[in-house]
Amino acid sequence: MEGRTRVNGSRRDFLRLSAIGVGAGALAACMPVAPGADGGAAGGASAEPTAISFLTQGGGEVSFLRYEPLIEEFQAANPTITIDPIWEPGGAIEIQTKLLTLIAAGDGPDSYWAHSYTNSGQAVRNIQLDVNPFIDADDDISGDDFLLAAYKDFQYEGRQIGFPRETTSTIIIYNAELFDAVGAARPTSGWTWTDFYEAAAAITQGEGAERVFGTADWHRNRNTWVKMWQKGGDVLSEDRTKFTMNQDPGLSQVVEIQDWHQDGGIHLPATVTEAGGFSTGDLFTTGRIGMFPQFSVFSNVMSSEFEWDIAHFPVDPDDIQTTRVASAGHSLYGGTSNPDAAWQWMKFLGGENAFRHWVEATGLNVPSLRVVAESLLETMADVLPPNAQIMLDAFEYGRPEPVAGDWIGVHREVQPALNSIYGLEKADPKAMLDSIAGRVEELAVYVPGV
Amino acid sequence: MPAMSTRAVLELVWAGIWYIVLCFLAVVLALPLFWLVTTSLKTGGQTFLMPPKWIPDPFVWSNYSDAFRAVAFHEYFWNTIRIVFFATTGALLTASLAAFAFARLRFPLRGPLFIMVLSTIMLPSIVTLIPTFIVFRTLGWIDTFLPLIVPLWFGGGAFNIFLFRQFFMTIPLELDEAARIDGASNFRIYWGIILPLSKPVIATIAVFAFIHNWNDFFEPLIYLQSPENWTMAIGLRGFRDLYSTQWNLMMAASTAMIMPLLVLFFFAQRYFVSGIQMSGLTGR
Amino acid sequence: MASERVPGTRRRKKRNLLWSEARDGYLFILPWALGFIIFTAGPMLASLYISFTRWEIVTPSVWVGAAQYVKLYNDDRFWLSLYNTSYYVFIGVPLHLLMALLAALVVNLNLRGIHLFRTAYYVPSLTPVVANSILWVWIFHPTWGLANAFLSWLGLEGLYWLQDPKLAKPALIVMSFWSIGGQMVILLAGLKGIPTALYEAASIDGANWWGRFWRITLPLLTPALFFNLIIAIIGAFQVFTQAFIMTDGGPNYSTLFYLLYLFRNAFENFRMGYASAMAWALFVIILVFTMVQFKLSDRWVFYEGDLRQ
Repeated sequence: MEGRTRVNGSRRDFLRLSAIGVGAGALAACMPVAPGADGGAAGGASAEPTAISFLTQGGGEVSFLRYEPLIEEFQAANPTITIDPIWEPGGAIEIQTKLLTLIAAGDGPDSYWAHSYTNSGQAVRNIQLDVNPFIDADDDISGDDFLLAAYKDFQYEGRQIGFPRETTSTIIIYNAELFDAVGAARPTSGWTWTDFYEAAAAITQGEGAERVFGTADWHRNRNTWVKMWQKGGDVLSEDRTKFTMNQDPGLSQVVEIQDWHQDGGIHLPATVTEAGGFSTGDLFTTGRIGMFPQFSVFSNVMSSEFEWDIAHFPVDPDDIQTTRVASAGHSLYGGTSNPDAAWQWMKFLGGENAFRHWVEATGLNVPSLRVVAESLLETMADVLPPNAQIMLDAFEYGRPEPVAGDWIGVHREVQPALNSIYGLEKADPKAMLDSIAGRVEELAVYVPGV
Repeated sequence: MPAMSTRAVLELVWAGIWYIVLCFLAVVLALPLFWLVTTSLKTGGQTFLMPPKWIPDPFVWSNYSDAFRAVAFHEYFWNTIRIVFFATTGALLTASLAAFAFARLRFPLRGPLFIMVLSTIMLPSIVTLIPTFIVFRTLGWIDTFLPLIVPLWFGGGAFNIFLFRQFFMTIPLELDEAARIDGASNFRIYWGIILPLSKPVIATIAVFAFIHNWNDFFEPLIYLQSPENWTMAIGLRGFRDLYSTQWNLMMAASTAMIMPLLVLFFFAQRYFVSGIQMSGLTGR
Repeated sequence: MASERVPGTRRRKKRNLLWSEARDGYLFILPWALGFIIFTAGPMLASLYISFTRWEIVTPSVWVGAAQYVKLYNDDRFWLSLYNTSYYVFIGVPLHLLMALLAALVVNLNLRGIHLFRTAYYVPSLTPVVANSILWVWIFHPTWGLANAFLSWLGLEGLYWLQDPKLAKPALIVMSFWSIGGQMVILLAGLKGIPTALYEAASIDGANWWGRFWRITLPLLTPALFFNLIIAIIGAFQVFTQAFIMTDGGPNYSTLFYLLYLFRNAFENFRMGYASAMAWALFVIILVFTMVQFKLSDRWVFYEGDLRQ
């Protein structure tokens, strides 16, 4: 850690020198007074009271409400520590852009909002502080407090790179009334892929813009992957160096999903959802989709005026029961100069108090803290589907994505290939996946430069 | 029928045809705006109703108040106004200065220097983001309006310099020469002759700079960290959350944001379409 | 027209005048020059240096010479993104310019209420880019979008605008026609600056509308056209937001524009050295194009107050 911080320093100095050029002095003379400047975010270097900067996702009042009361509460309990939030209205990539800019400028935030989409790229480069030593030394908090798969989502090669806050497990959402209308049996805990296909085929009917589809969204790489995992396939080999989607058992699943996409098939054409704007959730809400795999976020289907529920993925007798888990949470920056104070803050954000606040004040899809997640089933029963317990069970058998090397790069290769296979082009699955194997492997084994 | 009358009829027919063309174009070009406004008045569920609902039912006027409650636009409004005002003023002054030199004065390396002006907008800002951030951080300007204003007082941007230059170059040189014979300095020529003749382009650039700074979110997003310093364009992003976006509220806020621009444009256009008739001056 | 410009009286004081003229020239561009040195030159040079290194933002930078540029040359995604961008530039910019010219001519008509139409034509370019992009996603929707509703009204088959790799780039070009407002206004200001006396003289000479357009309007509009052309080319080479929000580079990489690929390298995959090399390659491409245009402009752009002779 120390070594890296020092190197950062020298690079920073170089950048600063080259960036400033010769004119900075001249500028000081004509520098006008800053309107509304208070220089607060720069952070004081004074020793006693510690300022912890916190880069986080947020733009609207709801997102401020997510953290501001917690900051006050934390500061009241820890009078020597102040939290300086840096708000960034954007998603995971925008936050990462800001994070990297701040780190490069020598202003790396002590703590920040993190997402599984960007976690691996940062972990490969050792950006997050490993909090395992803190957890081991602390009796108040333990990994067992969190939902299993969500906690694993913030692990990388034995390091704990943060705590999850909000998590999701992929489950099947279904329109119960469409099932009933065609006389199909509703999903049960032991339903098979044959049951799935028959129900979807029965539901699929109608023409043109009025057509109702049995299912949707399997074209997304994350959902194709779950289906592959069930059959023992995966994106990469065990040692994460070889691309294995282009061979069985994974390949057969891609072929099967491609069949669903054929004309007259049970699957909403990928072209409709790929068109954006109208998401699958919106189509479901208007009664156009029988069932589809989605992470356990229901805000987009809650306005449905029909009876709907969730189910486990279908499993055939020899299948492995599994699903995908993805989370957002908080990490500490490895280069922080106040690791102890930063840990206090992160521990607070991983505590029951914080989770209760989020559930009550702003809502949370699935709180990754086990005790809060379980009580959520009672407190939120009116907005959750009847079988909400299923989404929690899924964390016991589910898993995060098999991240390796430049994982976003792998996403960027696989999704367009799947789009070509399932979409208008109807590309040959084997040939298409073979064609990206080299690139994916290059990305998977990527080791950042030294 | 006398000939004059036939001609008048013909003119009337032509005007009619033009109006039909104009209206057709207006309808086509206004469609996205129409959708923007109608979406801003729909319920969240109707936003994605299929087939789309053209006319909202009911009209949800409360989207506007909800939007302003969800994002503190009233605070961001004054920040935006301040930035836009100072940035636009700086751009007008210093861009026209540089453009005057490039258009009407001869000096060594004028051509290469002008290419250098343009070259500043040829390098994608993605790769200068970090070094530029470091520059402003070193100056202590992060989370102030200065990075958004001060650079415009130092040149005003390549776009504005170039546009000024193009228009200055359409003004006959005889005017400068006559003034020079009368002993006028170059600054006098710039201030007393060229600028007064350039009201259309000044108005054009003022409007463009105003609109650009009003809608710009890339730069403010990088440099402004505290919400109390944010602009409306940043606020617009507050409607997007991780898993969903409140499109109807975002469209309401967008509509509210472009209304002042619409009014500005409507009234400013009489300046930039009031072409200067120089034929009398040049004696041609 | 331009030959009788330098009066004899000036020649005597030429040396003196030239010196003071040059001094004033530098003084006038001084604010720009200071700003360039303080705010722009440093970051530009820093990125140039980074393009010769391997730098992943959080790792130390390592000098690798021209290796990133060699890698660029061997990267078919790079060439693909350059092709996509060139398509957008060389098909989109001329069409865009033509549309803007037509619109400017139309709103230059002397009709009652024309200022309302001017405003209406300009308005689409006011819409914030995020809102505009999502509106167009809806408009291009294959099943429920306006674009296909219009086609079916004409009795034509609907298209997969943003889902068909062959159509996605043309769709984005079509979408760009709605933002001609800025160019239209600049051309309109140019049109309004043309002395009416010239038209009157031409009318007396018996020139019809077409003749007046070719002999007066177009030549006197060339400074504004030239401006629009240069700015449009520089802007189109850096097309980004539409692909970032609307298509994410798809389908099948057909809208993987240069800057989108560059951005992904820089902030998704941490390859800042590679991204910087990409940026400087693009810089050289745009610079060469611009300089060629400036050279060619001697032949077709007419300035009333030209200093060159």
